Amino acid sequence: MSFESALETFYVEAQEHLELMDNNLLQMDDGEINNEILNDIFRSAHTIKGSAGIFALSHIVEFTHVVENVLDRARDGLVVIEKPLIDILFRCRDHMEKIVSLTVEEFNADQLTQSNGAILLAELMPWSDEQTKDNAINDNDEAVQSHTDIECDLGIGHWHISLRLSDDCLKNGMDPVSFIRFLATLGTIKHIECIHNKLPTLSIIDPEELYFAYEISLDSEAEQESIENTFMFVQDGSQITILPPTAPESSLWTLIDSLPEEESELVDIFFRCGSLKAGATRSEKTTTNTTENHTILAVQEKTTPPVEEATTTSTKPASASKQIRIDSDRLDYLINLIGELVINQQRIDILSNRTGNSELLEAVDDFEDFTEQIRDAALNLRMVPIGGTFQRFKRIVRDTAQELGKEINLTIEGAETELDRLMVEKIGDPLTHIVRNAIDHGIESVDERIAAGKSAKGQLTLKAYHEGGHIVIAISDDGKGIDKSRVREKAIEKGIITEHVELSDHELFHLIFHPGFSTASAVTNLSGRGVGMDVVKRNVESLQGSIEIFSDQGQGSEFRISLPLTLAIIDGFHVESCGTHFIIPQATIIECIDLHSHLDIQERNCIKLRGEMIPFVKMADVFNLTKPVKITPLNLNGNATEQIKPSSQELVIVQFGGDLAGIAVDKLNGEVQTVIKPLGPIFKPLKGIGGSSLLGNGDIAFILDIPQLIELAIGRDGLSHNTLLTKE
Amino acid sequence: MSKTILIVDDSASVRQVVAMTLKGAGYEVIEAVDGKDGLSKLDGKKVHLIISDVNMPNMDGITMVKEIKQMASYKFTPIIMLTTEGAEEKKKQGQAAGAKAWIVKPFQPAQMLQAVSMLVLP
Repeated sequence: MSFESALETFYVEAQEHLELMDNNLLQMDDGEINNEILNDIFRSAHTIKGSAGIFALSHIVEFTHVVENVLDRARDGLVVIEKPLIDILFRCRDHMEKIVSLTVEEFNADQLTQSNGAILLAELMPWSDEQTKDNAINDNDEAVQSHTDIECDLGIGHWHISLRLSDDCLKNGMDPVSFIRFLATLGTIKHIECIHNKLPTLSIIDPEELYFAYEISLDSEAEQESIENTFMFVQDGSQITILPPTAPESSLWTLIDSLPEEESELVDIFFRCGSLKAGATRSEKTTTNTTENHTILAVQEKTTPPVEEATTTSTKPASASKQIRIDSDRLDYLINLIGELVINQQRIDILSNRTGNSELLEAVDDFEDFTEQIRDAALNLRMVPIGGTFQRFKRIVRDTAQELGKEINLTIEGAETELDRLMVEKIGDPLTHIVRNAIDHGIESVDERIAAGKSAKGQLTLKAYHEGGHIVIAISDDGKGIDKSRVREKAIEKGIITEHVELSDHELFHLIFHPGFSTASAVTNLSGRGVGMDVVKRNVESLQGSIEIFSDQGQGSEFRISLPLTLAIIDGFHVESCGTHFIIPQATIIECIDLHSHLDIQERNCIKLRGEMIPFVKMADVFNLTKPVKITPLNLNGNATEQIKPSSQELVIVQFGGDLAGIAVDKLNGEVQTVIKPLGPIFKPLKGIGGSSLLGNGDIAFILDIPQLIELAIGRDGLSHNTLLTKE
Repeated sequence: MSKTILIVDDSASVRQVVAMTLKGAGYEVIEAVDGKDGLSKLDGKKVHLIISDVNMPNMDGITMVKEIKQMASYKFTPIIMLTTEGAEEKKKQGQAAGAKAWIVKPFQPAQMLQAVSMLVLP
């Protein structure tokens, strides 16, 4: 553990508190003002300020101090929470987020942020009782840089007992240990120092003589009398001093003076006993003694072997909570290793199958079982609930709605649904775009809504749920829906489609994803900044996901994003074409059929399956594959008549979104677990392949990008095969 | 046997800095996230010192101190309050509840260590 890692913790913690503040402010904004929420907001500011101080992040302390002060006053009922204050607090929170991201140096160089902060503080003034901003800063500068304010009240029950028993104490049958034992019955002995300066060398030592002196600190609520009584039988020649809790500090100094030992030594002892306060020295000696105290500390640090102990304690179940934070890189490394484990397991599987040794096979079977469990458990580690991302939208919705003068109620469902951490990070932007679009273009203004017989407040719902190996995130609104005729007009105007083209609703909505398509005639500041829905679609597809639109004019729209559970490992279906291996993601597969039992309209790469027209692509055509040399070379114009062994053609029917398509391959090899290895950037433009993978036997397989292949099969950019034909 | 110190603070970074400082000096450290957690972490263990924040969720520091002072085994365990609260009134409350020392955040780790070693050596 180092200072840096503690600082890292601070940033994570500050971020958590800022999010918490955001949520609580939103609740207050909704009119839910109660002490609990105020307390929570206060505590967030308080904690950020307190921790920032420890790391000497003075710019954070300065600003947060004023915010905290206002919140504290609100807690005490001195300030009334009203709309303008909430607005300012929102902005203060945002400013805090900004300054938390800056180092002190960066902050000092950033004039804009500084002046923003000053403006906010000035706006906060009416609610604060800090006289001026300068004052607040001065106060805090002092707090950050100068001394630490330590106040010790050692008076409560703290007795100091100084024992200088006579040399012949033992000879008279008095064991000093028995006094100490008795003292322990009166309270708790906090500390004992045994002074053994007088101890002679072993050759002249007299075992019956007492060489030791003791300084004892005792926590006790006993009467002075009973403590004094302990030493009732001690004979003359002993010097016993009992300092009660109420004794002034000066009496300690008097005691030090009266004792035979060196003053500096006694100061140290008294200090360790806790009887002497830190820095509490006789005025004229302040400087020397403080440095001495420091040297003591330094020596202690050197002499105690802390390293091993520190590590052992940290492994003990002494952690503060049941959660631990891990560096995500370490987690990714683990996942990577498990990926390799999965591949190796498959290799062992293949090799053991060859031996036919039943005992070995059984063991390998068990091994496979555990590998799968380890894989699932490891992947689970990366899963985080999507709720955190959803929470952010409360604020986005509030701000966007306020800017547009609309009233919107946001409902969140399925916040506990878990998603791969990587996906949670990357899905934020596309979601933001869709949400803003929904508020901007989807939900009508209050007047329009009332005219349409709807409630004044628009409804926006964010929902996450599992569906068939995928996670679906749905964003729905009860706005005016997508105007199909306008989409059509626009598409024709932009030259995306021709006038005669007949499109289904589904295909029509898909046009929105066409690059450069934007239906809003007025480009507002919120959405339609030239970054269109095509970017959203691309982002979603880069996560191996898909996006669909459902819309009823006048009733609202729903955008449905479906994402795979994880990006690292998939359950795939291994197929082969012309000796090249491919993996089709299992979740997309509907069924496998024999291509030649459905010869209907093969020339057009289309078959009729149970009355439904299904287009298909041939792997050999798409990737221009040739058979290995030992088989007769093949002309690959994609004509089925030219295939050498047409009977061996298999068709895998896959589904993505609402589209069905077939993929024609030579051979079906069965299910495999595959670890996705991303392809290098050089393969980026390559359509139809999402990644590569190593098979158990060491061969390389390509993982097919089903959405892209389906597009290819049904025609580019969401236009169906039919449309393409019409266009031609 | 090194001495054990219980740290009670809702801020993970504060706990980390305090724990780091104390472990570096040879103390054993138990961490708790709030007053309630603090009480449950005591759980009959031998604890030589308690360092606690004041403002915490679930149970604040002063309430926790009052509770601890009611427990026979921890009646005499010294308690240091480590807090941003600098108000005299709060300090008096803390003192009345039984806290031995009051350290105002932000603090210098070395000075905290000094205060700690006044009460308990490692």
